Amino acid sequence: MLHVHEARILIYLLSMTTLIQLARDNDPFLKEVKGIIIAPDSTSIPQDIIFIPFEYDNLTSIKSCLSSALLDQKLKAYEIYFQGMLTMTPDLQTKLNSQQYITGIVDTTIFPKSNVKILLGIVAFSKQSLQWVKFSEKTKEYDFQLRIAENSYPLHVVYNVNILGIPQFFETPEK
Amino acid sequence: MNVKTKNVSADVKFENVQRYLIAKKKGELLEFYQTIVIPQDPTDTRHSFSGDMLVYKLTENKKAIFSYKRGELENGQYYARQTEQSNSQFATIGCLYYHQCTWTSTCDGTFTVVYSRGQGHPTQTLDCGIPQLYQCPGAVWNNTGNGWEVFCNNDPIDPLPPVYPPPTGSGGSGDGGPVVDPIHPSYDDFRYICPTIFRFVAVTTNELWQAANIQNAHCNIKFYDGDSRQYVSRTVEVPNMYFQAPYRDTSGVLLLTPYLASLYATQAFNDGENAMHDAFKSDIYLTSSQLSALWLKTANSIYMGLTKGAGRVTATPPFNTSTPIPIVQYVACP
Repeated sequence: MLHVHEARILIYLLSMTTLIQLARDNDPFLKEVKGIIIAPDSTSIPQDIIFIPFEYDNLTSIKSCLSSALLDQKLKAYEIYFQGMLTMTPDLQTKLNSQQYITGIVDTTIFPKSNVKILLGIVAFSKQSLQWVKFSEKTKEYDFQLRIAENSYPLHVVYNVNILGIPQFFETPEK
Repeated sequence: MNVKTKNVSADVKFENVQRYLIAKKKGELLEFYQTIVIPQDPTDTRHSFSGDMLVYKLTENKKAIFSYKRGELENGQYYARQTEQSNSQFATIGCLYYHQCTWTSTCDGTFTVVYSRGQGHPTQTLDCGIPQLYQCPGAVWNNTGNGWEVFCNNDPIDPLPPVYPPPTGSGGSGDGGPVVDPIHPSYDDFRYICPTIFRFVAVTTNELWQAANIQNAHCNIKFYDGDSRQYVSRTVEVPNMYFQAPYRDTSGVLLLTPYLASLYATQAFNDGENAMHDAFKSDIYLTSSQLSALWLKTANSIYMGLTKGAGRVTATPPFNTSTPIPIVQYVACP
C-alpha cells in the first residue's frame, strides 16, 4: 500500500508524463536536440549549463563523441537555463548524475574556475511562449577554454533564448 | 523582532541596517563605495526602496546621506568634503545599484516602531540600543521626521579593504591541476511549480469562469556576472497570482477542463519565471519589485496565449465571485 507522500509523487510523475506527452502532441514549436552538456562537477542541479548541439549515435560513448565533436570547428555552444526543466523532468538530478561523464576544467562566466563534468543528453526546447513574451534580444557571447587532461579546446558560447527556445525537458540518450 | 504600528502588529526580521559594497565602473576603473541602507518601513517590501542610504566612498573618505522615496532620490546631503558630481551620479544610479551584499547587521532585542501609516512622522524606541554599525562605533541615530539618519562622530573603520576584481580572462591556472570549485547557483536558489498545486474552481453561478490562486510565489535568482566577476542575486516575490480562464459556455458546454487550465497555468508560471530570469541576466540592475511585476506580466501574456486570448493572470481576484477562490500557498515541486 502506498503512503500518502509516495502516492503524491506517483501522481506527480504521472502528471509529468502527461505534461511531456501534451507538449509532444500539441506544441508545434517543440524540438528535441541531442548534444553535449557541460555542467559543474557536483551532484546538485545547476542553474545554468552549457549545451553543445551535436548529432550522435545513441551507442556512442561520451569519450568518442567528444573527440569527434571538439574537432568540429563550427561547433556552437549555448548557455541554457537548466533548472527550468525540473517541472517536466522531476528526476532531472538522477538523470544528470546517473550517466557516464568525463571531467574537465573551465574558467568562464557561468562557471568561474570550475571542475566540470561533460556528458551526453537531449534537451527539448520550445519557442511556443516566445510568441507572446519577448525575451532579451541582446545576445551574450563569450569564449572559454575547456581543458580535458592535457588538452585545451576553445569554445564560443552564446546566450540568447530566442535561438533555441526555452528548455522544456531533459532526456538521457537511450542505450 | 516586534514591530508595532497603529494598524499592524507583527513579528518581522529586523532589516534596518544592511550594508553593501558597491563597485561602480568609471571608465576602465572601479570605484568602491560602502553603503548602509536604512528603509523607512522594514515591513514594506512591496514598493521600490523608501528610506535613507548612507554612502561612504572608501578610497577618498567622503560620506553622504541620500533620501529615497519609492526608488526616486529626494535629496542628498553631504557631511564631509563635497565631491564634484556625486550628487548627480547617485541620482541616476538608484539606491539598489549594488553588486554584492556582503553583510547585514541584526538587532538582538526588541525594536519597537510606533507610527501611523500616512499620518505624521514615525517615532521610534530602540529598546535594545542602537544597531551596531561596526564601521562606525560612535554612530548617533537621529529621527529627522523624514527618516532616520546616522552621523559618524569618528572616522569610519573600513571593515574589509576594497578588493579589485581579478583581471578578466580565461584558461584557469594552466597547471592542469584541480581548481577550487565555487558555489554555483543550484536547486536551493530556485523554485518551480507543478500542475498538481493549482486548485481551479468555478467562480460564477453558471460555471462560466474558473480561477485558481497562488499566494506568496517567490524565487531567488542568481548568476555570475562576467563583467564584475561576482554573483548577483535577487529575491523575487509575488504576493498573489490569480489564474483565470473560461470554464463552460452559456449552454453548459465545457470549454476548458480545470486540469488543462492547471497545465497551462504551470507553463505560464514557469516560463514567466524563466523570462524574468532572462531579463535579470540582461540587466542586473533590475530591482526585485520590477522583476516581480515582470513575472506577473509575462505569466499573464503566456496564459492568454495558451488559452487563445481568453484567460488571464492578475494580482487581484475576479469581482463578485459566487464561490471563494481557495488561497493556496506556493510550494515548490516535490
